[in-house]
Amino acid sequence: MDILLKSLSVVNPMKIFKEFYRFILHIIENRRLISTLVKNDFKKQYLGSYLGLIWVFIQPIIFMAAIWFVFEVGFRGNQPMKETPFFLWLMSGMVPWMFFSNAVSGGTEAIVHNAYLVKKVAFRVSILPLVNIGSALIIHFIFIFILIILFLLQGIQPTIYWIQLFFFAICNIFLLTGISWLTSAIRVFIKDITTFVGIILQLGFWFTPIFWSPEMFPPKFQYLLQFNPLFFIVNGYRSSLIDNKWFWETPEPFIYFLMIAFSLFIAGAITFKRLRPHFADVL
Amino acid sequence: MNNTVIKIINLSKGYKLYDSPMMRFKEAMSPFKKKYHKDFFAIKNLSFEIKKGEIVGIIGRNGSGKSTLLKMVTGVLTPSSGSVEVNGKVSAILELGAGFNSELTGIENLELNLNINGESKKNISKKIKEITDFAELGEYINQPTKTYSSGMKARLSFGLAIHIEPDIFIVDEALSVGDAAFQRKCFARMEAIRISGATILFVSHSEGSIVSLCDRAIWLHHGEKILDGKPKFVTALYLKHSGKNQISIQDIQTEYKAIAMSSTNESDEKAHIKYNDKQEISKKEYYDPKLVSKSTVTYEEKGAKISDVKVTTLDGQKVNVLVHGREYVYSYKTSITSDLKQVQYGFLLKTINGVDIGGGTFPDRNTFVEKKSGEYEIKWYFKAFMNNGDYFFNAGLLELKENTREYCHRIVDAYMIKVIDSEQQITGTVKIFNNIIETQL
Repeated sequence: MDILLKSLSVVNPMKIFKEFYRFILHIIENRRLISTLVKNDFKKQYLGSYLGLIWVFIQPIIFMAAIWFVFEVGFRGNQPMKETPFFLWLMSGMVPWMFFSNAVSGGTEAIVHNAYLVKKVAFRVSILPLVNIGSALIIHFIFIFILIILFLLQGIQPTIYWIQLFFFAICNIFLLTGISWLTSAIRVFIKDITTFVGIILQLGFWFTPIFWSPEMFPPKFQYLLQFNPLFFIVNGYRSSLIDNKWFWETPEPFIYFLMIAFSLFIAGAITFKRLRPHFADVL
Repeated sequence: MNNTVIKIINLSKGYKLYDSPMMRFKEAMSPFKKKYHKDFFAIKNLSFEIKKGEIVGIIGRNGSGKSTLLKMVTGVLTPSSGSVEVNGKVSAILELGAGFNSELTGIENLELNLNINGESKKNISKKIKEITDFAELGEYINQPTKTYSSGMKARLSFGLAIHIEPDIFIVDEALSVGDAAFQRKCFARMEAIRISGATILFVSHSEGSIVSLCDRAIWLHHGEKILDGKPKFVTALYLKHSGKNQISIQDIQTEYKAIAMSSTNESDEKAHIKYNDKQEISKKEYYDPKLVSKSTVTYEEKGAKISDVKVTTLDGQKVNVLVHGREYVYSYKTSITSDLKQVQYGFLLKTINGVDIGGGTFPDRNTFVEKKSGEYEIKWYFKAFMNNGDYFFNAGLLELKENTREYCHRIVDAYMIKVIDSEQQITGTVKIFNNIIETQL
């Protein structure tokens, strides 16, 4: 009983708050290091290719063009969603999902791929998963930029609701931080987690209302959607860009999201903290 | 004021041996602290302190825990128990190219590592320039470090490590790959770091550099501290015993104490000899019975015994105070108890700090000959070209056994000599010039 209480006492709210504050402080102190690492991450991907950083733009443009071709030229049977062309509606759900999926699959490998730092340099390792989130965020911003241009090209006027995109991106980052800590730390010990994360992401794509509207879900099981934190984010992007709604107008999904994201953040932080001393021994 | 910069208390590092990584994961996450491993200790209950400005050398065989220790001091590894307290900024070369991403160029790696060390933006560009100048890599500085030779990596690592301006500088074997000119440059830099008041922790297999560079040496064996003391004695005992698998710490410590005790009187003796110097107008070699080596280390006998180590004049008179420039004979007797297949004589002359001056073998360096059991004497004729000072002779009989060289018998610091009356123009240890002629042009 004693031991159980002891292990539970880790979840002391004051301590968590302090740790969180220290962590934020640490990020601010090390912002230049993080930006250098993000820069290196990009260089590694595109260095040596002829087009170099132009690829960062070409990839999303081609992707969007393909989606546009398939859904606007190919299958023309899709109903426009509330006067927005189907492919724009689809994209506004897909863009945040892609950010999430890229960051999680990159973040899971963050520790293992940077073994040269973890093993040889005294270094706050917990920022490494953030570097992958940072790289994914840059790509995400490019996607949003292109998406906004497409909206404008369709003659849709920008609204004040669009600034909510930043809020939802921050929510996504918060969620990602916890998840990446969790998966990257476990990845050091169990290689299978990479495959596992890949499968979960694939399933997640179809179980999140990206290709389908949440209204298509049986009403009896609607409440189940609330437990998917990505539902809140994907829906949020759509309500900002298309539905013109503020997130506080329907507070319930937001509260659910906060609870899930916060639990994942705490779980990630505790797991990472416990496993970190062993990293250099295992890598 | 407290000048302890590194304080290590009861430090242990157990490498837990798991049957699978899954077991390790289970244990780390287990709320009940259940054990899933077998223990292997790389460092066992180690305690010592290092004061500011000390240069400490760590010796030990492969796998004795040297690198593990340094990694814990730098904070890369987490101790299993005990504590490491470090006061000051640490800069370490743990391995060649440690902390370098092999895909990035030299410059980019420098930028990354300076960032990790929390340098300001202004400092980074300044330091990158300094390090580039120091490392002299030319065009290669803009190439990925995966294309570097080990010497180039050493240059870059060393350049980076010293330009962080550390309070504690840790070097693990990194200097052995650089070329001679670069090594010289590094040693000069380390000297400068030392003068600036920094502490240096130095790991090496080469006992020579430990003796010449450090003022304290620690000998680790299977994660335990065997000796901690004067580099000259520690390395001598290390070389003597390192071949053995089982080492009795107590025996070695008593042996060390015996040598150290007798040599503490050496300074008094020096004063005495100096006093004698002034009466030395006769310029004649002689035997001073007080001038005896106190740091003699005798190896275990394996089929031979060396005795009667001495220096004589050409007509056979035993001496130990030698007049510079004259010819003498260094000789020792060897009694071989069992027939030896491949052996070779050797001797070495060293300064009081243990730095090698010169030596010789018989027959050639790479030739070994058969010796039947019996008594032998070998004589080496030499001219005392050394500068004034005290010197030590080693004597040894080396045997080649299955391609490894092993001493049948060896006596380190077997005979002590003193050279007097050298010419005033000589500097350093040995006279290397014949004549000095100055002409007005």
